[in-house]
Amino acid sequence: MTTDAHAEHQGCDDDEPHAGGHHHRRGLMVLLPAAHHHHHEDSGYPRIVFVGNPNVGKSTLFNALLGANATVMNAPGTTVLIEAGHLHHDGRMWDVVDTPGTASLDALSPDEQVAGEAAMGRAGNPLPDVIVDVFDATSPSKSLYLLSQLLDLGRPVVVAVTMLDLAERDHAAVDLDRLAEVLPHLSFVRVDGRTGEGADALKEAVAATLDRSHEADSPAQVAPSRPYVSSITVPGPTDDQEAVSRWVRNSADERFLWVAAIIARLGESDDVAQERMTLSDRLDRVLLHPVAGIAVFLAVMYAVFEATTTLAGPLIDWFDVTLRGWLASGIDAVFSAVAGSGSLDGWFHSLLVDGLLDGSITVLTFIPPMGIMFIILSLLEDSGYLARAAFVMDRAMRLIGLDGRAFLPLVVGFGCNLPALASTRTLPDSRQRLMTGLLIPFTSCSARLSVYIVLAYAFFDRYAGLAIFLMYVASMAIILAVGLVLRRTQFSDLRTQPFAMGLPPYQMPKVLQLLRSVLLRLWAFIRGASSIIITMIVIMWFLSAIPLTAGAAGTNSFGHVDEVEHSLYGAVAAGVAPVFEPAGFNDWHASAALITGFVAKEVVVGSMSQSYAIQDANQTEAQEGTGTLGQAVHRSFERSSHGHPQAAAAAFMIFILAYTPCLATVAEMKRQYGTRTATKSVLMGLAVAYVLAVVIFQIGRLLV
Amino acid sequence: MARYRFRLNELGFREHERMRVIQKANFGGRVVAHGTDRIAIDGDTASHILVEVR
Repeated sequence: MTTDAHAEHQGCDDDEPHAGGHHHRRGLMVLLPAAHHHHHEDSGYPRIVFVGNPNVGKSTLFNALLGANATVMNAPGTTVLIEAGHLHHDGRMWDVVDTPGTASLDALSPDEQVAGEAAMGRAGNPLPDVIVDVFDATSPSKSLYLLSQLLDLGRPVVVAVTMLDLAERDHAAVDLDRLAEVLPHLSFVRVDGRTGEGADALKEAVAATLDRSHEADSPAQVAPSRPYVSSITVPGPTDDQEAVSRWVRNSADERFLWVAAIIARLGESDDVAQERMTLSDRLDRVLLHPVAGIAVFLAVMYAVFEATTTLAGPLIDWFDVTLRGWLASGIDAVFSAVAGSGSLDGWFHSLLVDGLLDGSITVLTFIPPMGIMFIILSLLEDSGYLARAAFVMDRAMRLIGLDGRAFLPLVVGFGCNLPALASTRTLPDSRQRLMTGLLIPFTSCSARLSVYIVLAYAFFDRYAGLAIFLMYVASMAIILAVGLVLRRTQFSDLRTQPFAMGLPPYQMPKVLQLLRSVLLRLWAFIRGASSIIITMIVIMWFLSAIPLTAGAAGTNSFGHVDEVEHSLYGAVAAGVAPVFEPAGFNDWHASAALITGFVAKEVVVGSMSQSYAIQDANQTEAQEGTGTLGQAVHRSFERSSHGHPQAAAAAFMIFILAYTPCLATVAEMKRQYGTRTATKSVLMGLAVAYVLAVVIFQIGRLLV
Repeated sequence: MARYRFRLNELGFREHERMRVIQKANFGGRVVAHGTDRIAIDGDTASHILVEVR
């Protein structure tokens, strides 16, 4: 699934066969296995399937037609994303399905296979009543080639012609009237998904085609006749992919001749067209230049990284400080007015402010980096640059068997893992998307930096900068190592394909469409992440609120626990701590920090301060490292490591680097890849973190 | 590799087809014009395509 699938993703378990779309579930329900629902069963409404080459604006057109009524889901038994929904037109309802872009029904990837299966009614898909072929006017040869295969299927076809404005810009406009003369049995509709132009005409054309289909004895009678005479039988719904591949290849020569004949009848010869220097060609002189191209690419990546960190920072602070302050004050005012000022010390007030409000604010703080990421992604995709970026980085990413487009999510991950996961949607191959998603948690995000700084200054003094730098080196080394292991194990089927890709023309993104797309994506994220994050934070509040001892003053009660150590949370942390004996930090303060860090790394330092009952306000992390907190942590690690605190600190930092980034990433992983993959990612992170921490400590204590 | 060879055929890399190299990219990659299409191919793939220069 490429480009701007901005619709809401209703949580689904894509790893289970025949899983499909589900109604959105909230709270703890998202953690429970979903009931199976075969969404691709025939609903009784006419089924309209959108098919087209990659990067032709198909998804943009689809979303322009359906808007917020589209649902993203997994094709049965796959991790391939498709969009589907109901389209209302003139009192009728249609089932409409968007498919991943494909160059041919002879599929080279799971995504292309899903597109072919939907078009052909194979693999459990109902037969389409109408196929809408999204035809790229800037690339008539490729578009005609795919169209010839769709026409062979014997289903009614409507052709939606996109990018005519760009073809006209490059003086290579396809004459639609001429095309209609050459192919008289087809409906051609000029559309522009970014502006919505032609949407009504397209719906009218689909409706007219359906009407003719109902009047005929069979849909095949309405289907355009096969464009050429061929004795090769078209595969049916029960045939496998091998049969489809054989059919496509055996009839290929006829198709190529047919396409060439159509192009010749449209007027301009290929020789003239390929001699013409287009605007895109002139831009590619720089953007794909062997040297300048890489420089531009790195500059773009740097800008993306800065935008998701530095630019997002003040906005995050507004949510975290200003908005939190307003809402907390509001809650205080209501409590005081209703139940008096004494109620502010009650457990219910604490639950609302430190549980529910805290969880809600945590979700909202992700809006700036996610929103900025979605804006940048849309700009890069819609402008046509992202395809070039993939080409520039292709060779480098092949080292770990990834698509060149995987570079962008990995770079973004060093700012924040959450928008990095969201940006994996740009990878057209679902297996590549999954592998990249599994590697992103190992990119050292900026939230982890706060922990590095405190520990680096507490344990490594004047070498603190070097220690922090080495954490980033370690992050890249882990990504490479885990990537190589994954390629040899779970992703051994991921063949490094030769890079051969049609480059889309450059175009100016449309601002309104872009903003609309971004808002819908953000809303989908908030709906998906809020339930799991708020639920977990409330659970942690309860653990902290339940006293296990009477406390130093003997006054502990539910919601009033003097120190974390005396709560159920402290007991859980103390129970977990011995696990880290081999890593040198068998200390409940450390394990409490790691448990809190599972929710969000930003709160690890605050959690440590709380566990040591230190309240150094308005200090930087470096000041905290050399101040009271640093000294307290130093004493704890000195004790737990039996005299090797630096080795223990290094091990702890490595653990922070490698284990789960935060709960929001777990929620996003579940949303994109399903529960099983999200769980696998968490377990893999814990395993890698633990092994590395033990190794680092055991070797380190021999040296230091 | 037969699958990828056929995909190259589908993209326009067929015997006797005329194409124009319009851009050299890093590591031997090329951008090739075929009619109005612009196709990017990596260096390894490009090195396996035999051409007659005119």
